[in-house]
Amino acid sequence: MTREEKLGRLQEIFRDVLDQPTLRITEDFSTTDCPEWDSVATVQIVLAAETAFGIRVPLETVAHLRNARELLDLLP
Amino acid sequence: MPRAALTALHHCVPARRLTEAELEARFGAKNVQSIAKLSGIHERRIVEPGMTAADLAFAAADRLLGARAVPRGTIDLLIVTTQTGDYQIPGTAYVLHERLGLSKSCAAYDLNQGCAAYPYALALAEGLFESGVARRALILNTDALSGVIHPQDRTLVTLHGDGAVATLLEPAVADEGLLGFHFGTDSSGWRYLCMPASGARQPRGENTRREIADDTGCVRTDEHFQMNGQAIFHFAIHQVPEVVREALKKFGVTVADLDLVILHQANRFMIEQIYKKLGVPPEKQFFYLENVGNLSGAATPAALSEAVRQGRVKPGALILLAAFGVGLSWGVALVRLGANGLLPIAASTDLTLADLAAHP
Repeated sequence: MTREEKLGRLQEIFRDVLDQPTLRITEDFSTTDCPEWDSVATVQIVLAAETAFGIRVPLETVAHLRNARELLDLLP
Repeated sequence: MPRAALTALHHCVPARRLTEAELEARFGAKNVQSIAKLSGIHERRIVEPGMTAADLAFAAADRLLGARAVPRGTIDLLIVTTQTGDYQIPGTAYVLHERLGLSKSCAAYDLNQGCAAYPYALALAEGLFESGVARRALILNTDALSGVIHPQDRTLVTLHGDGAVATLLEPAVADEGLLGFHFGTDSSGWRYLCMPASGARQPRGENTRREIADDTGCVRTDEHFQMNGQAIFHFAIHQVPEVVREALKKFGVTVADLDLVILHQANRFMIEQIYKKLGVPPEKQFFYLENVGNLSGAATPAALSEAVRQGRVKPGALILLAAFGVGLSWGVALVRLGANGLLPIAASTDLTLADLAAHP
């Protein structure tokens, strides 16, 4: 899967969790771009990404996650 | 020496209610409703000014001992778990030992533990039963975090309440009692539940009183309790099911053998996710947070106490208790009630300063 394809899959997760069906994200998409992206949404996004990609995101990454790139970098 | 067994429980929360309406005025309706939808918490009980965690513990213990007519001189072990004691020195156990009128032959000490406090306290008491030190123990789990949470910290104010639970332990008969324990620690996460300027490492001063707002608008200072909610949520969802599975294997039991599985009452969505991962059916689940909030170290025993009060726990029931939090730490305990069960004692959900003045 290319990085672009992974970002596309992440975009689906963000759309679902943030309840914004037409949302378009870039790697720079961050919590400051979207008021709905709060700590609860972060957990939901991480859990969905873990399920979708079969990974376990490290606790430290979850604690400080603020943009899509930090998650994208972890995807296999 | 006989094992220890739970023979009485009583929980106490203060009369003061922190309602959704008050919080909506402070944080906005959308924020509060969004958190409540996931947390399942719609009202919290918090102490009024002048009331402390020790007061809650005193009331819980005093009422339990009175209801069971336990001679105070027969208590030979007092363990108090709290993170919000009356003093840094001495431990709250000594303050309560005096107030409760316990004897000079009663050992007393504090256990500095957070949300995982109950299994830890039970295990320590069990060890002292087996070594012959204790024959009748009182465990008091109490916290009043409302006093150390910044009033504009939306993530903590909306979740936490204050409360205390008294547990009486006496020698086990037959196969009842505290049957097993399983503990662990992931200290890589201790910073995610922390009150930075609360001890020797970071002395209090002008800098520690400075208010800091994060990018979501939550305000706190270094003198307040702080939580990285997303880290803690992630930790709980992954770690707790794993350690409960380890514990069940160690104890040689399955979910099918259990009558009730009680988890730390942090957040309803979190608890539901853990139950789902473990395959715990609805009839073995229990929630006690909607109208009291997360009671920190008192939350797990308060849920057990409330389950007893509601008649959800039958004599001889096999119960798994799993608690997790500050540290980051976790503890699991397997408990079998006796043939007579636990005598239900009405919960105290109304404690006021006037009550305390009447029974100092």
